[in-house]
Amino acid sequence: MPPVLGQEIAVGRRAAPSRVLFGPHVTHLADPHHPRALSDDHVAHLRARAAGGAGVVVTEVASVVAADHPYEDAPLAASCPAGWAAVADACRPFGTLVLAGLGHAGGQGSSAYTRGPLWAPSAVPDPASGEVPAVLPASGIAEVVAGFAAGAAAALEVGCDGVEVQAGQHALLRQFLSGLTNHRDDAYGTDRALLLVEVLTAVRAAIGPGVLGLRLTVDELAPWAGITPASARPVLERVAGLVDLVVPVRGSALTVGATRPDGHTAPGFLRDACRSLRVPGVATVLAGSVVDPSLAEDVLASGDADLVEMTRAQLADPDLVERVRAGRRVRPCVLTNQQCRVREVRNPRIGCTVAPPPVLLPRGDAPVLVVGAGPAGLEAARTLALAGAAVRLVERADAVGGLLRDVAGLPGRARFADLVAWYRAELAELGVGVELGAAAEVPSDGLVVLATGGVDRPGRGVPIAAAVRDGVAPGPVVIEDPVGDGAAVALAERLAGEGREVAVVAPGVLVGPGLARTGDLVDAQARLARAGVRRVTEASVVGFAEGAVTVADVVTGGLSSWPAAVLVDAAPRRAPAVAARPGLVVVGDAVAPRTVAEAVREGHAAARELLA
Amino acid sequence: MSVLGEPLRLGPRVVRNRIVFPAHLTNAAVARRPSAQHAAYYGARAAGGVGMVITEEQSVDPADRPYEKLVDGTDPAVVPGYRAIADAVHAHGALVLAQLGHNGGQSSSLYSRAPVDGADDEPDPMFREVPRPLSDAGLARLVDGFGLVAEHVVAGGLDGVEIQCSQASLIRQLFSARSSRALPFLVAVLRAVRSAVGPDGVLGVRVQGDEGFAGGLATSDAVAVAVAVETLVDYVNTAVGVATRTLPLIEPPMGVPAGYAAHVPSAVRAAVSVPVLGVGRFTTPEQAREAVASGSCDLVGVVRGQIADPGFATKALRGGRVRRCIGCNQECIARVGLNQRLGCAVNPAAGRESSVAANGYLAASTRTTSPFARVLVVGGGPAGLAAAVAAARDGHAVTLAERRDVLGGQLAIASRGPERRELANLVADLAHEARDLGVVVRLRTPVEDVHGIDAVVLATGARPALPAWAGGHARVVDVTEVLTGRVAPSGRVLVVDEGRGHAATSTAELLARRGASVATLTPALVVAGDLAPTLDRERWRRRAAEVGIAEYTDRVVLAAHDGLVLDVLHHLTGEVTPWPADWVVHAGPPTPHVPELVTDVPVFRVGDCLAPRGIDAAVREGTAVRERFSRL
Repeated sequence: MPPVLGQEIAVGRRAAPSRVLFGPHVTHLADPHHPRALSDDHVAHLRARAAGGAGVVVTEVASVVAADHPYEDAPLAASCPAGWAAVADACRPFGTLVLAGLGHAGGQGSSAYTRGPLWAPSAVPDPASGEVPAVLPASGIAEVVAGFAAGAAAALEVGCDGVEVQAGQHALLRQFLSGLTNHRDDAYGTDRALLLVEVLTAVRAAIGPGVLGLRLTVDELAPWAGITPASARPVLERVAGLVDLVVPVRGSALTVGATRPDGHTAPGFLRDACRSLRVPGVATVLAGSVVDPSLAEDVLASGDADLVEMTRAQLADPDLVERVRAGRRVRPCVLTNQQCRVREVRNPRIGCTVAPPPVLLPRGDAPVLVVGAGPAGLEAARTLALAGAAVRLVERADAVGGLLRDVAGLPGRARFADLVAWYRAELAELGVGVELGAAAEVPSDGLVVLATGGVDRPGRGVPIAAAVRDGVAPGPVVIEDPVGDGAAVALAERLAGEGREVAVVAPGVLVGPGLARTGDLVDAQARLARAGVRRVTEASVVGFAEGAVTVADVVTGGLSSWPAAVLVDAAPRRAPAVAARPGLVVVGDAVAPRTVAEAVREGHAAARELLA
Repeated sequence: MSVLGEPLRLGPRVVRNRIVFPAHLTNAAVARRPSAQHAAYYGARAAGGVGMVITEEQSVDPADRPYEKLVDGTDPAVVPGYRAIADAVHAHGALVLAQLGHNGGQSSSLYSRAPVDGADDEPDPMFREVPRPLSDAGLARLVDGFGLVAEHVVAGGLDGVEIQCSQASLIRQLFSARSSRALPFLVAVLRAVRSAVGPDGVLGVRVQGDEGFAGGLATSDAVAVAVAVETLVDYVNTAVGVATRTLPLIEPPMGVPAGYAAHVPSAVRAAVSVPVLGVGRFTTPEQAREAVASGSCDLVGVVRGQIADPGFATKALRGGRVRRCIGCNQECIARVGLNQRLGCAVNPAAGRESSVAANGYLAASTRTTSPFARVLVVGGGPAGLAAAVAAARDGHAVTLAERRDVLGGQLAIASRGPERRELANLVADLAHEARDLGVVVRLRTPVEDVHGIDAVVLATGARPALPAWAGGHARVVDVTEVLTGRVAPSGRVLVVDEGRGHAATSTAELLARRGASVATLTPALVVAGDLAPTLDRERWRRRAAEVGIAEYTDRVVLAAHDGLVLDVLHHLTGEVTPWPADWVVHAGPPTPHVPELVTDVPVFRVGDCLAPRGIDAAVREGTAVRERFSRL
């Protein structure tokens, strides 16, 4: 039987060619000269997913009024028609439905660019910015309704199939729906769904038979005042006659990370809510870490949802639907959020940990030796083999994967094992021979990719890589973490889970500050606190002797002592010394120890460099 | 005339006075090129009388990109932007140099998606990425980059180049690591740049005088480098602090006195014969005059003082009251750190000089055709004062009514906190401006009904709002009640911070210094989260440690019981603990105060009575309200 997710489905009066939706997300793909319009890169980004079989794509959310400017290059509906037209034209050959994302971030926006106040239902400060918004007056409400209608009309006018209205995370409409943020005593407070109904009514009037999608928070994870599945259901029933498609999502301003969480949250977490919220006549979409085609297939076959949102899965593999239709493997999303969660002030362009930016690859049948089968070497070997090279992959250990094998054993990182398994299967299919347990000499000529990884940096304690791989001796553990990514946090969690006494010493104000990027920062603090891990911040280890670590406050110089049988040093590794020569390309941690994303990217790029 | 106004020869050129606008980040670049905003921004300071402008850093390597809006000087497309800057500055008779630099390991792969190139493989403390150590060939390539960018600078008509070897710089990293490659590299860079700028161009070098950590570069290192390259340069600039490690040394907040870094230029000046530039929170004309007159430097750098008042130099040389920088760091340092365009809390036009909307802030008058209006400003805080000043400057007849017996509103109250005194300078400066412009100021004047006027500006601010859990308990009070002296908590005081700014920390320190046993408690991950972006956190932590203030994070107060015991929830674990205290002082967002006015003329709300925010919003909205009167 062909996979359900590849089957056509009716959405309103249109038909989507598959049941997979590519949801709206921040990309920072804008042209800096036209920061609030959609760029050619936006178009290419969406076109790639349409070409790969996506049934529905939703464009990056555009603000419906200029007073809403939530991030520097946030699209503005009035500046988007040309971009929407280009997206619709690019996706039309594939039959993919194109919905224009329309929204208003309300109190979750930013005053940094407008230099005016934020506008929200009530003067409740957003937990992220702390900024107290101004109360949206009746005239402002009318402007918002008109803005949604005008944006929708413009999108349909230029060829979009419909729109998706934002009442999910970062949404004024959700703020009106929620008792957390709507304390009004006018009609929009006594009936908190009134604004949503007015907006959807106006949009429906504006788009006629076009597709009207609604992204709706159905659980704010704050049951004392927030939206719950039970309170969301009557709202959905009330607007069912207006909308064609609904995407229930999770999370509030208090729990921003809960909407697209990382690997600490099991995929498919909204499945029960989705099933309970199905309304006749409305196509319901399961969102929330749906990254495995097998889960998607099961959900669709069971009837718990009509479509699945697989945004991150299609970042990892733009051809997901086509591959599933063909019975082929899909490059797995590992749910680290390290490269794709880019709603932050530095405006990093969206990327993917496991999917390198594609390079134009020449064909070549030259023999190439790849030394090291970590992520960099695996990606290089696969890419070279796809290009026709005769690849020999040599790995010193008794299995492929490199550091990924160890990292996959840490809490929340299990999906890295899926990535290793995917590479193993791909290489087998491509006929790449893998020589394990072989310490390869780097030959003095011929084409070589050197991907042997980093080496431990001499330090005071047990290097973290060794601690993760081999475990640590009994007794209390202190981890000094000058890096602040997920590694030290995860090791601390694992050790504490084994009943060990653990402290993490960090130079900054927080432990694991790099997790802000992945959305796990606050959750990580909570997990560490619940596990009893001590967080010693703005501190640095100055001594380790006689069962104790001495720590100095980096600001005041004040000393403290922490029991420790083991000191783990989470400092980054360093690159090995490598003699450069023509034909030898060094990649990944062997250049400078960094993350999986760089390893994969450089492994991929090495193929072009060698075959050019 | 003081030395400050004397011309000075810098190699081939003469600078008209001793006041410099040194290099600092603005985030005004668009697509990594200088923008029209750069030209307007520097041009405004040149029009204000500065002797020399040094642009923000221009990178010599496309892969060097620690922040998004760093100009890539290697791109030939920068030349028209340089030309626009040169024209804007030269039109007013000032010199303009470009600062050239490479950030080395003090950088990120976020934008380049390439390994960071560093002096060695030691990760930078802020960016925390492992650099790829630069080979000798790599350094040689960068020498060429310096030369290429210098050629672009000259092609754009600028007067010369300054080489950044401090703050954030590969050259600093080489010196700091005591690398034998450091001096030869710097010499090669200077020779390449000299060759590009020719005999008519000015060439300066900015040396590092105090990295601010044990084993780091010190004043003697600055002197040694300056002496070693003296014959290759026309002047020496100085700096203290490392941008990614000891940033508060570079851009200190208001608690740090002017001239805190004067020891560096003093020592360098004693050792070299070329002119020496000194910097260090010189924010008033008096301080600038004294820096030069005392002999600690030949040229004085004033960054924040000229952001706050573009006319600083002329006023310093010819007399006149400047609107002073208050060292709050909220709009210049904090915003730039967040990848946003530079602004200024006391000067709403700063960072927006090129935009049409900013003309309302900048122009001497926006009132061109309409007749003057009779304006009543209700409230004498920063928003009301700014509104009164702006309206009076346009020729409107302005009366300002303040309920209390002093001007300044929340700003005056906040200035009572330790190391917050300079906030009161803004109140004083605005009040002087208002009186000079003929604003009628009425204190102790509550406003109920209004007549005989054409418009009302409502700047009534916000009132403290105690949380529901306070439950009317007499010993649960708002921070403002402590700062105004209405109550004097003692014994065990718990300061609950449900805001982000200085209110909680100021009050905690004030009480601790009076002998109370003080703890701060916040639901957030850190107490007073806004103190880090403005570089106030480090000094606060030192002072808090000095007076023994305990800090509790991740905690929410649920209830206050009689005898004063709080129920405190640790929200990460769910644990609830009883918390006894003699007094509880609360800091949190206040509630807008919007009095009912009986009037049939237009009422414009500005500042905290619209939404409680910071100084910048108050001053900006107050200033901008003038545009509304022209449409009356």
